[in-house]
Amino acid sequence: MRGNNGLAQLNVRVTIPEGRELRTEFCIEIDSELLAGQVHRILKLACKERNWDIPPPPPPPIKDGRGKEPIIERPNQDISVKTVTILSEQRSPISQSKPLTLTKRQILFLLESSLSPDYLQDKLIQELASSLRELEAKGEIYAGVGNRFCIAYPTILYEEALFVGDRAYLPLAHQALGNPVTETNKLIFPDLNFEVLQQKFLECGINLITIEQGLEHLPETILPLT
Amino acid sequence: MQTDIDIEVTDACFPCLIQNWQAKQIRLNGRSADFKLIGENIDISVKWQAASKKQPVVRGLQVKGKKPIYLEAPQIYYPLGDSVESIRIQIEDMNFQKTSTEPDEKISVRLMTNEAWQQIKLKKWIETTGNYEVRLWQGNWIWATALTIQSHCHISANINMQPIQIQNSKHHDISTILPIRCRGKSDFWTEQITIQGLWSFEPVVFVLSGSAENHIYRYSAQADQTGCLNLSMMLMSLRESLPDSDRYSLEWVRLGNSQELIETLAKCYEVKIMRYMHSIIRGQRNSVIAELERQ
Repeated sequence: MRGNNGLAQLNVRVTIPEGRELRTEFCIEIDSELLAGQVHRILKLACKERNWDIPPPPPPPIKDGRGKEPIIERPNQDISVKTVTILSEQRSPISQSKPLTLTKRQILFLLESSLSPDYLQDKLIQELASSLRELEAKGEIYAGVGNRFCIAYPTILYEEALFVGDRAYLPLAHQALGNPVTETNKLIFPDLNFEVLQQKFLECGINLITIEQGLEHLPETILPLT
Repeated sequence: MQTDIDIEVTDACFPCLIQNWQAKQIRLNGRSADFKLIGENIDISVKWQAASKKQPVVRGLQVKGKKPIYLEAPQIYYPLGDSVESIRIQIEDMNFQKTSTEPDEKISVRLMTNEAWQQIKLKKWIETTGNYEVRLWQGNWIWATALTIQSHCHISANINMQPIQIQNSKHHDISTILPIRCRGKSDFWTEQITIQGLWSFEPVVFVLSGSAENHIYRYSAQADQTGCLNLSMMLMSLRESLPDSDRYSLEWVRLGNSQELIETLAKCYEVKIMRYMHSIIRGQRNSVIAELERQ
């Protein structure tokens, strides 16, 4: 899965057990745990439409000595959280409602000045690159020309009651629901339908979307070149 | 005075209390250096060495700017290595002119460790935003720094969001009334539309449709750094994406809402109107003829 505007790259391997039809059962292996969650959500949605069953992910395979151990590059969560905070805090004094963009180098500098002096720079560069990829895939940030990044428009994913994007709007989201303001981006929805909730959030400049709407900007899927 | 390569003589001049003496400010650029004072009755050689190899450093989440402004109480990293058992710390809240540390506040320093730095968290003494001064000392060594702590940015409920502005070639300074209607197909593809007031790098979906029901093409574009999106190049490139059709329309989807941006005036409507006019004229003529015949 690779977007034309630099979306995260995902290596997906589809394994069809011998003697089985493609439609009955297959397994998808994804080399990134966070993206695996995202793909699982997309599959769940697609399967629900088609009345297919999707089993829970199987336990990790036992090493048999033959196959290579899959390399799972997990982004450092501390770096991801800090990157979201850094991007949400850069604002112009004239218009507070919108954040400013930062280059990768500027983010790196701000991250570096928050870590121990002996934190290895090479390690940080790699961790930042993988964090930026994951954050973009999760809809937390937008990547643009010139290696610049911007925190995404304040958005709430309806199915998961999850707030993503500009954290400067997070207290407003909690307030709009009549809940106490906390730092968590997991919201608690009252018993209201989608349209009512959408209107409530719209009034404070927050966008409520379904997973389906969130995938609209992704390019059409195409078969890989052989 | 003879100086080493690592010593810099500044331009500053100071008055001196001792008669016939002159004060000069010198600065050490490297780790250590030598300098000599040679005069009529004087010949002194001085070896100058920086007191400590490493200085404590302040680290914490901050906003971009010339001066560091922290978003939360930062940490001080104290260099380990000297056999110092403890250091004294004092933190002063400059806004309220009060000391937040105890009068004999001490930090015990880890000995016998391979680590280069010891982390000192300031969270315990700095709880709110404001200006602070931190002092560390031990024996005759002293280190001080000033800190500014700012709160996280929170948008208030009555924020004024900049509205979206859509301009086209006919209306440069005012927002266009949507949808923009074009007389011909060539006008449609060459229309200059600019959308302003988007989020930086915001992704926007465009849906181009032809007259046939299944002639739909989706295209995603992205606003620039200033939240501006110019559609002229995009429209030109979309020209080949659908089979030829007698009418086209372009819709854009933002924040879950879709809105028609531009459309061609349907030719078939024009033809229908023409036929209608003809039938009226023909009808009138027929009734005139009938009238004449009756007479």
